[in-house]
Formats: sequence, C-alpha cells, structure tokens
Amino acid sequence: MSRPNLGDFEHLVLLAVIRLADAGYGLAIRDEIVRRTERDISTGAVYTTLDRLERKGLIRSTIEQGTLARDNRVRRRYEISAAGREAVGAAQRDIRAMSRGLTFREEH
Amino acid sequence: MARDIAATLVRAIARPDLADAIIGDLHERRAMLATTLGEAKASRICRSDVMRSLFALLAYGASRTLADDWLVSFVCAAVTCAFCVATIPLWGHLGMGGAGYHVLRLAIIGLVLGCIPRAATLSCIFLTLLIAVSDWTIDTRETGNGWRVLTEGHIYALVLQDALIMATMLVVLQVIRSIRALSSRLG
Repeated sequence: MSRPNLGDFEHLVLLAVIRLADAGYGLAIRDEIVRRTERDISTGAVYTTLDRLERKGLIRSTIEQGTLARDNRVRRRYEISAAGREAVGAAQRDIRAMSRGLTFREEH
Repeated sequence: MARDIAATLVRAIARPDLADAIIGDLHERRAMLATTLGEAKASRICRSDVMRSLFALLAYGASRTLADDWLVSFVCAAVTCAFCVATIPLWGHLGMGGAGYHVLRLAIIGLVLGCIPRAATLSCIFLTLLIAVSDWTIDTRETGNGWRVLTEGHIYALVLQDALIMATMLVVLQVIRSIRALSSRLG
C-alpha cells in the first residue's frame, strides 16, 4: 500500500489522537491542539479532518451515548489505527531528516 | 434562539452523525466556558466557532460530494464538454478550426475530465457518447457559419476518432497514476 500523504493539520490531529489515547473525543482533540500549538481552530475543521483521516483508514471511531452536558447528543471517540501510527511515524521521520543540521530560535 | 439557528445551520451542511457530534461539542464547550467567562462571552465564542466551522464543513461537503457522487462527476464532465462546445465558434475566428485542432481540443477535454475525481473511471463509451453529441453540435454550428456540412459517415468517423483519443487519454492518465503509485511505494 502506498504511504498516505499527511497534511500539516492532519498530522497535528493524529498526534492529538495518539496523546489522548482512550479519551480521544472531538472536543478534547480540539482543546489539546489549541493548548499545545496556540492555534485558534474551529470545531468544524477538527471534525472534517477526523472524518477524512477515518476515510483514509488512519483512525477508527466509536459512537457513545450523549450526556446532559451535551444536550444528550452522541459523541465520537477516536483512536489511532496501525496504519495511522505508521503514517505518523513516517511523517515524523521525514521532518527529522529534513531538520537535521538546521538550527531554529526557540520562542518562549 | 441563536443556539437553534447555529444548530440548524450545522445540521443543514454537515452529515447527520457529524452534525450531532459538533452540536454536542458546542453545547459542552459553552457550558464549560460559561462557568469561567460568563454566559454572554461563552455564547459569543461558540457563535464565532460555529461561523468558522460552517466554512470548513461547506468546503469539505462540496469536495466529498464531488468525490463520492457519480451524478456530480457526470454533471462536471457534461459541463466541461458543454463549455468546450460553446467555445467552438471562437476557434474558427482564431484560425484553429481544422481537424488537427479538433483532436487537440479533445485531448484537452480528456485531460480535464481525467482530473475530475471519478470522471476518469467513467466508461470510455460514455465519454465517447458525450463527445459524439459535442461533435454533432459542432457540425451544426459549422453549418451556421457557412462551413461544410458533415455527412453521417463523417460523424461516425469522428466518433471513432474521439473514442480513440479519449481512450488514449484515459490510458495515459492511468499509466501516470500507476507510475506515481509505484514510485511512492518504492520510495
């Protein structure tokens, strides 16, 4: 199977799904990316990316019953698939290979 | 009221299961934000999130429809052909009305169709039929401009020629895709 191309945002979403492990809900994924990257991203952008990743077979989702806080609406829990883990690993390797020998000023 | 409008908009654009998850998330987020920022500010933040989400959902929905729906691909292919046919009277004025240019135009149509998701996998017979209709229209327009009227025999020859060109273009595109897939697998 050919290696799937990961976009910048897809890469971030996959990393968030891996980080959150069993708690990979849409809202948590969004918050994790916002907290770590300080990007202002919309809920719709997160869900469309999750849907695209699921179609590529890089993540799986299960539907769970809604709670009162969610107005009883269902929520989806996402988890990484073996292909997803492989795709992230390959993308990380590419980034490391391209970054080797380069120096960047860290902003604090 | 504003909450209902936002939910209705999301539901109108997104797939039902995605819309439900997004609306649920917005409810949950608003409730969380309201405890620290107050109801008014929480609502404002969530309203802005909905507006930005709508653009993402709209763009994603359009791209998915194009990729998943054979009917949309068919319409795209037909519109492309119609556009090419509609511009036919211009070619004569530009000195590009000959058979060579006709072949060139068909090759370009083939390439354009090949770039539309799914259209490349439409059967060659279907594309030939589409182009045959185009040729028939070209013939009429050429007559209108005082050019030579094609006989039925010529139309069949044109259809055969079109079939060969379209098939060639689709085969070329398929070969390019296979080479790209192979090279990415090897790389």
